[in-house]
Amino acid sequence: MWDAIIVTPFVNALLFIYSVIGNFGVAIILFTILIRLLTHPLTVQQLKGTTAMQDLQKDKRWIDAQAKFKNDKEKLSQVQMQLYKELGVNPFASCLPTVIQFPILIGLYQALIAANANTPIELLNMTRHIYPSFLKISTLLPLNSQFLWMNLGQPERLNIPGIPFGIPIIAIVVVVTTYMQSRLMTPPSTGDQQSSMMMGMMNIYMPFLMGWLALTLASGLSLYFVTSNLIGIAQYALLGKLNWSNLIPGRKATPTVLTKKTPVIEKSVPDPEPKSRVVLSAKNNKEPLKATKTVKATKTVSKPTKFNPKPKS
Amino acid sequence: MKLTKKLIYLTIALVALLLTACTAQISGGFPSGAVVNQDTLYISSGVAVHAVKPDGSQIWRYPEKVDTAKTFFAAPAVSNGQVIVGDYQNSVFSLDAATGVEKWSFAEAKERYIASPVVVGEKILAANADGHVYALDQGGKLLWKFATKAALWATPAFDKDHIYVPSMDHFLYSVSIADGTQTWVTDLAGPMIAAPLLKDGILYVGTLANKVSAVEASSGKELWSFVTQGNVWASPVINEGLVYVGDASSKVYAINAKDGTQTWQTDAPGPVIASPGVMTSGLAFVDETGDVFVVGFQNDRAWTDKITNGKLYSSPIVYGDKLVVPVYQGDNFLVTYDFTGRKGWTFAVPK
Repeated sequence: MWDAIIVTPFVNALLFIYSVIGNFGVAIILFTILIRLLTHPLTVQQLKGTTAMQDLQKDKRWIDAQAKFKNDKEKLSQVQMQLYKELGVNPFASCLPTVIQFPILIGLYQALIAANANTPIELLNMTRHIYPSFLKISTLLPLNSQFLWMNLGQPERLNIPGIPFGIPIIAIVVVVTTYMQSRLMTPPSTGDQQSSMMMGMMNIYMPFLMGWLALTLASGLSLYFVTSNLIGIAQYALLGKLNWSNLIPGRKATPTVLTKKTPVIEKSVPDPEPKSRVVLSAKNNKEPLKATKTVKATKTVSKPTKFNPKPKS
Repeated sequence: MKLTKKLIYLTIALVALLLTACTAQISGGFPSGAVVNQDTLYISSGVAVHAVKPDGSQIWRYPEKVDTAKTFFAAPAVSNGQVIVGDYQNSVFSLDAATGVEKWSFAEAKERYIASPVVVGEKILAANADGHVYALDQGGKLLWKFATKAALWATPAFDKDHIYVPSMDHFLYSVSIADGTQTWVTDLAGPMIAAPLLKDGILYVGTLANKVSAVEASSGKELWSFVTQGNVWASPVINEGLVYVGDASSKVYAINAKDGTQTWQTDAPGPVIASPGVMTSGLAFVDETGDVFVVGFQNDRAWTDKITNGKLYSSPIVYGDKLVVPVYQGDNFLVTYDFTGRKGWTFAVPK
């Protein structure tokens, strides 16, 4: 089922590109670009959702509610849901595109492995993926797996005269581009120490994990890793979400420039069970909302003011 | 803090698992067969080369302990007291046939050995996936090498003067064993995975272009070709003027060796990737889905059996009074039958 819907069409598309271009390395690059372009709207949607969530988490009312109801998860959840509704933020807006993209990217990865057949079993599996009416195996083979200095079916090492060992250039490029991508695309800190620390450690470990994979696996996959990383960076750059200052090692990830205006009004966070209420206010557009007073709730609950910090997209 | 670290490690482990699980088959292969020499069976299992007695007990294995840098899928060749075998990195090893001790190795190739080496006279000829045939002397010294345009996965056929090299580049080459010069080359319009069969001056070879061709060994002239329904992965066998071959579309064919006409065809239970073993009573075929079935020379089905755990990609070997079936990814690496279909000893790769 998975193969029939995702992997097989991908293998055929990749090999079709190869049959036109005649070079497997170029085919990998073009195919990766194609898939990432097709999933670009999902990336944009994901980014918008993430940004909205980050803005929400900077909202004073959100922060205050976190502190106020830290020992009452149920109430906290109700307040949060109310805020989601009020601010027009869908908490799943950033997850759903990721969930949709993930199988596509895994399928792309599997298609690359299936198409880059270097052993009899791999070739046998590849022939099972090919639509016989669309592609002819006898004309596709042998695959030209040579790309630049690399044999895409083998782990890559560049032998330089005078150096007694091969240098894993592509693995180094994978480490660098993975590091760049993770740093440049690190979401702005929301002040949550734990998640910031987790993000920071991931930014360090992930490039080395990918580098290790690139060191040991066929370089065709490394080429895919590099292409995918660069496209990811390019996508974020096009959307104006890159933060170049994050590239400096040791520096904490900082937010991208916030262009959104913080709304200013006196607001109240509705208490689902009105025992207490936080009254929030902001003096002007440049200052965040802050709590001015905490009062005991009365039996009469004021209706929440309509509040929309940004036009809904 | 502790929870954060755990989450990080868990995430990284999951990513690693996902990526490596997707690529676990990358270095996989299947044994291309085995060789019997003086009552000993020599076979590559992937992790090692094994010498096995007729009762199924192991005499030796090389390497003695699992070494991930040495994996063997090509069948060994045995000559002059040495077992010659190529590995999935880039080396040919010579092992003492009696003890399995390494004598020498040759590591000038750039790719893996999927094809088995052949020994002709005093020369060892090893076809490598880097597209070259390497000719070595009995001490492992390079004598000459011959280049084709693409990977060599198929074991060459040979007579006393020439080797016949099927290549993934669609060409069949005739090469002088004496000096490595090309005698002729013929375009067969499809990649070749399996060794040609040489019989009475004619080469019979299958291709992934869905055909079996007969080529004159002296001139390279294609005498006839027979179109099959699926890809031909296996070497044909010949008996009494009929060429027998199976294909990936689950068909078995008997072809007249003289003119390439079909004598009969029959359905196999699954895709046939390996050559049949030739017994006196008929042909023992195996298919990918685990079926072992014996077809008489006149298309009468003798017996069948199913190996439920594992796939069958390798040719069955007639070993004394036994039929030995190599199993890929099964509980047992070798399963034996007598010629009536009764199971005998099995051999699992010792841990």
